[in-house]
Amino acid sequence: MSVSSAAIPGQRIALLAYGFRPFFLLAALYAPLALVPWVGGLLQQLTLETGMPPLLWHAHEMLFGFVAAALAGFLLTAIPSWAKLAPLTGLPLLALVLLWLVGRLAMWLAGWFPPAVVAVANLAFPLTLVAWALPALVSLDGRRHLSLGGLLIAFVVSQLGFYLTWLDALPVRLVPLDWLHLAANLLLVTIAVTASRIVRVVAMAAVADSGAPGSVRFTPAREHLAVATLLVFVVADFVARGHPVTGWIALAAAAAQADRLAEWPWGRAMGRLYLLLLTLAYVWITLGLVLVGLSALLDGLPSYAGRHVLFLGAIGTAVLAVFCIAGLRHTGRPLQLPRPIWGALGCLLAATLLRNGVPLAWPQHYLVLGVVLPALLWLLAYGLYVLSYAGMLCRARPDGLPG
Amino acid sequence: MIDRRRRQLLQFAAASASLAVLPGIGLASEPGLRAATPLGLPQVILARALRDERLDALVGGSELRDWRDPDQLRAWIAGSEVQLTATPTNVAANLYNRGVPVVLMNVNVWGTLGVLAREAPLTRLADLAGRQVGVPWRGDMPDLVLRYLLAREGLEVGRDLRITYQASPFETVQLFLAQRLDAAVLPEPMRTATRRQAGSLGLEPRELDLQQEWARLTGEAPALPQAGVICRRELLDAHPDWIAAVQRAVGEAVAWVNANPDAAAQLGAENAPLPAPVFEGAIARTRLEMRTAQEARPALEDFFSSLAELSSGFIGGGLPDDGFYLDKA
Repeated sequence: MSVSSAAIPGQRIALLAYGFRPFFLLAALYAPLALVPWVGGLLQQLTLETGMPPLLWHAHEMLFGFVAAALAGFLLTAIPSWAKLAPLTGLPLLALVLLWLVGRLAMWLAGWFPPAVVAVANLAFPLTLVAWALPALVSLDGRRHLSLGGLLIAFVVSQLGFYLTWLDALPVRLVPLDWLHLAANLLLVTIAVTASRIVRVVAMAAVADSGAPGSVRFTPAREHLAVATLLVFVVADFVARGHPVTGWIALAAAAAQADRLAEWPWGRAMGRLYLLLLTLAYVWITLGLVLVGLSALLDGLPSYAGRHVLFLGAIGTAVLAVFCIAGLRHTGRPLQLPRPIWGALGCLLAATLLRNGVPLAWPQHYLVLGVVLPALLWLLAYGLYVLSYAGMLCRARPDGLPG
Repeated sequence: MIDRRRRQLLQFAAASASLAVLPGIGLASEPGLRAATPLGLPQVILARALRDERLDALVGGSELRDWRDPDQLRAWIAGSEVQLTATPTNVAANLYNRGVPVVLMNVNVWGTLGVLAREAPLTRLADLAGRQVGVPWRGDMPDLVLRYLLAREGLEVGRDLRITYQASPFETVQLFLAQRLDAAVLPEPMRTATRRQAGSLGLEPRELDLQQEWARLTGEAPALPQAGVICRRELLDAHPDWIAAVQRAVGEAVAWVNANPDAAAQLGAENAPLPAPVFEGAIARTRLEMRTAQEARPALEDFFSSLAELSSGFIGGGLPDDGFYLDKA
């Protein structure tokens, strides 16, 4: 393609032509890398001085490393179009990418740096993102999407809470893991809120694309109920994780998500990969909430049951869905996902089933089938994404438009 | 399938045992010392001992291979594939009682068993009441030590606590890490490895040393004669000087491991798929002490008698006679 964007300031390098480009690519590359110290440590094959318990390091990097980059890529791309704002490109975008990388470096060297330095190095990136996003989201055009700004702030507050608890600087009886659960649960709300915006468009496209009869109709009240119950769950899970009341709330939230899912086009249109990915992420939210609820109510299930359905299944699949859909739409391509993404979907599906099913059904194979194999499938899933999309993300739009 | 493999190995071992009683067969003319060891601290001790230059010069070089299954060892030792091996003491007595001509040279591991529990309290065995405990291999040493001590503590399996058995320590470890067991009985270095793995999963397991519980409940020393070194009788007959040299080297190796746990842990990590910190933790939690077979015999007979009450198959018959114990150091 001979079209060049050299004439447009800040777009000499296509990778820095729009926020999603560097952040989706880096997030996808980092997704498997962030698992290495934890899985390696668990198998006694790798010892990294993490400065904090390995589980916290693992969760931190998946949430505030991998997902934070994905979230940044999404917001840096969506907000300019919502708020009619010039996107962050070129050197300012590069500076933000470097801030994210500084955070990763600080975490990989967390065993050698003072904890306060690690915390500050990691907070710089999300705070900068908030400072950029918030004015746009309170503007007249962006105000409709202010809820996402609120969720972003809450996500950053949970990150701050994590560091303060880790540094033992909070006078309340919380442990770092409480904040990590909060951050992950807030991402579920973000998926639910974002689904209201994306699924409408994607579902209609899938119905039209597949030639299925009828139209898609979404009831706002049912969407609001799903988001509201999820928010109640987030609060309950933060203040009383594992309590039977929290269990019932989780089940209620699951019912509301299932009710919302009932409105999605379940016929031929579901054969469209872009809709299937989003739907699967939402199904995982529903199933995960059921398991989390049951584990709080029944003695037979371990306390962690369902959490990886939410983390790996729901969040992992939702991130891949956004990567795939936004990657095509914002590089000026038709909404036809590359074939290898079917493989990525299969890998994530199998990884989620194994990561959650093996500890419950075949715990004697926990490490091999419940940890190592899902980690390899996770690597494969995001590897397939990188193989399919790296070219699109690193090259200028084929239609010659900016972005 | 596992059962069939196990049976085949046992048949092979039995056939080899009957052949091996013929003097001289098996030693053949191969120079050097062919030794074996299970993974863990016995491997560290024997690996160190076989590095001894004087021993090496005397025997003309040596080979140390590791075995992962007692059946594998039985086949090797009965078929003279190895002439000397580190082994749990009950396996040694079993081989002897089945007619394999072996001699116990020494006992050097005197306590390596412990209980890991997901939650406090765990200050005594009575704290296991109401919990589900995982144990590798029914009827093996960890199981019998646990059941013997539980009975002393007044706990009845089935009524006061549940025990589930797994096909290998690795399965027990995975069940514990998946939080499907409340507690697990494990030897070192699996115990330290599991404690570290549990930490990776956000668990903070409690730990109970079964040697200390043995001392509390029996009034004896906190020492269980768990593992030592045996050799084939004809090796002793043909090369008593080799056996004396090995005995000396093992004694020095035990002293070296106790005095240099860091270096010993490095040596362990070189020979096993476990990192040095696991061996460091394991050495700190294991009682290593060199006692000749004759010195260890009273404690060993008490130990065997106690546990054989629970399972006659533990040592494969009665207490081994004089021929089992090496006459002198």
